[in-house]
Amino acid sequence: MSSAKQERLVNLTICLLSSRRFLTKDEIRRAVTNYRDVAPDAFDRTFERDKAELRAKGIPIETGNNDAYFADEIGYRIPRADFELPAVDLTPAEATAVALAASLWQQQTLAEPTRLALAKLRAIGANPDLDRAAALGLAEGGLQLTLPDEVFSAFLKAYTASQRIRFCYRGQLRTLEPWVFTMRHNAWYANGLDVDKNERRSFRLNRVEGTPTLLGAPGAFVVPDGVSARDVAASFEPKGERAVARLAIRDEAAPHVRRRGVLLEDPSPWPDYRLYDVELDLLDAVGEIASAGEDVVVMAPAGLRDDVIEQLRYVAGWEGTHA
Amino acid sequence: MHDLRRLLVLVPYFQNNPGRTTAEAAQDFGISEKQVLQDLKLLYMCGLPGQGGGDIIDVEIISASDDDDEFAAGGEVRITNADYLTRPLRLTPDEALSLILALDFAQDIASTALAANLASARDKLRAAVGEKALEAGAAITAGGDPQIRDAIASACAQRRQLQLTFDGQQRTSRPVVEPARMFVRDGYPYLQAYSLERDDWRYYRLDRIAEATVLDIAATVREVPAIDDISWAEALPIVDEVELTVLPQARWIAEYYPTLDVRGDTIRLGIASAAWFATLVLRLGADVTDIQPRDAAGVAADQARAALARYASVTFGESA
Repeated sequence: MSSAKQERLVNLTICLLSSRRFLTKDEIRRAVTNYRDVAPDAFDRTFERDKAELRAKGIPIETGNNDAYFADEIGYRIPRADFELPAVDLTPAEATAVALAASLWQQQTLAEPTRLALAKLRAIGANPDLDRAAALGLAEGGLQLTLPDEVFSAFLKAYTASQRIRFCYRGQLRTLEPWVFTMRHNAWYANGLDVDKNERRSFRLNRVEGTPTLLGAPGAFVVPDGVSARDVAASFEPKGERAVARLAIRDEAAPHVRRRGVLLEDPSPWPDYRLYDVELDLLDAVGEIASAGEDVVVMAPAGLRDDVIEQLRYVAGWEGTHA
Repeated sequence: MHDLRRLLVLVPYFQNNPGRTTAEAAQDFGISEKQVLQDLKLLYMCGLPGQGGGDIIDVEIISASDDDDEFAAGGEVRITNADYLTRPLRLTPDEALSLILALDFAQDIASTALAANLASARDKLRAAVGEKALEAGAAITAGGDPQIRDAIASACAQRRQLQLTFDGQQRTSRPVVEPARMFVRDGYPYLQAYSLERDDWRYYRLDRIAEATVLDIAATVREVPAIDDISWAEALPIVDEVELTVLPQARWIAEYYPTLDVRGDTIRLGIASAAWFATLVLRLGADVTDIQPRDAAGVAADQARAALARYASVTFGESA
């Protein structure tokens, strides 16, 4: 973008921000001297584009009339209360914590907006003490995420501009109003209104095929009140039926199972094994126990034991003659 | 390149922090000092309607040296005559989202004291930028026990050795390490530490550290190597290639593990460890209908037979 244009946009912002009343296009044209360099017949188009650009950068522009009775021409202004970042009274320790967190992002889509957010906090007086932060054992530049970056950027743009996004997902074309983003087990999900199905849906971003496109005008939707990314994340947690099994576990083995168990005093069948009562997710129990091989043996219940034995027999068959 | 969002932050930034230098601003905004100077030059052309002499933003750079160039690097910046722009623009949705995700991730690797500051900062930010913006993102990671992170942070700060109880995939081990730092990689939090037993740097997933005890032994001062910037799952050397044919309910493995190729129900995997592959075959059981080459299943079959022998050697109390 040329500096002439940036200069014009800064002046336009200041002009609309410092006026209490709505300014007509003519007044704006006179007030922002940079528009003198724009040919008269190109002014309307240039102004429309500038206005759209300011809005896309998050600058709130209000339209209206100063006089309800002579509403012949529409005017523009930036309401100061909507523009200005209110006071965030961070203590130096809190400012340091935020700066430390922000410094974790590396060269990713999210690094740049985070830096600007932090600069804004500095601009209102929140000054971190990064020399002290080094002692906290957090690695600067230590946050690395495998983001499907191109796809994520597109979704972030759609979210920022409140614009619909269209993308190919499992061979189908979908249209979404993205509301919230969740990261879980190294997978990013966008959740929002699936416009075609008129239902709330989550999409795993690394399953999006090709490059998404933004659809229609910015400001097309408002995220409903009470929508929270944390709630979406909670809905991903498995809610399978659970039951307690008595397992013999070899010392130090299968920690992911053993740690969830309660150690029992009862003697185990083998000297290097101990008995535990472990709560298991029934959907996953057979696979989880079988995957530990001989390190985990089901003592009870008999039904689970038989299922595990059947699975082990099947796997033992891989060296013989599997069907 | 100028950036409108940045230009509008620079004005309140310098007005509210008088004496801040161009170098400090370069660091805070993540740009070159030259870019700061270019931005300031542009702002010097901007101001109130008319943009005449008395209307424009007054930018002054007080240089330590007596340089003729009024926009020389290294000086203290003073911005005046811009009372209408003393506060930055509100956080935009992407700024709020990226900040809140960073706070989430940091929370999972923070010591108790740092976590408390992160939480109170988050509450204050929520009040200032609005509930909605701060509900837009959530990162769910498992950072384990905060008391373990306290022990790690204190061992880092005091340069002490640390005795870990570490739950590996298959076994629990008890390495003595010299901790360097905690970080998040691919969505999982880790400790980077020097293992005395292995005589090398190692990464330990925080949620798999069951215990951490600070020892009364000083840690050696070592240069901490940079954390590799490639995805670890992809970085492991592949020792073997195996093709699995699975029933539909086991297709999830194609999304869970790095694959070389997926054609319908046939999934080609690059195997970094035979022990890991045995675990997978044992876990999936009859959901796997074919394995090629067949001898790749050898370790799993051996382990299954050993487990069956255990069952055969015990008389269970009850009947099915």
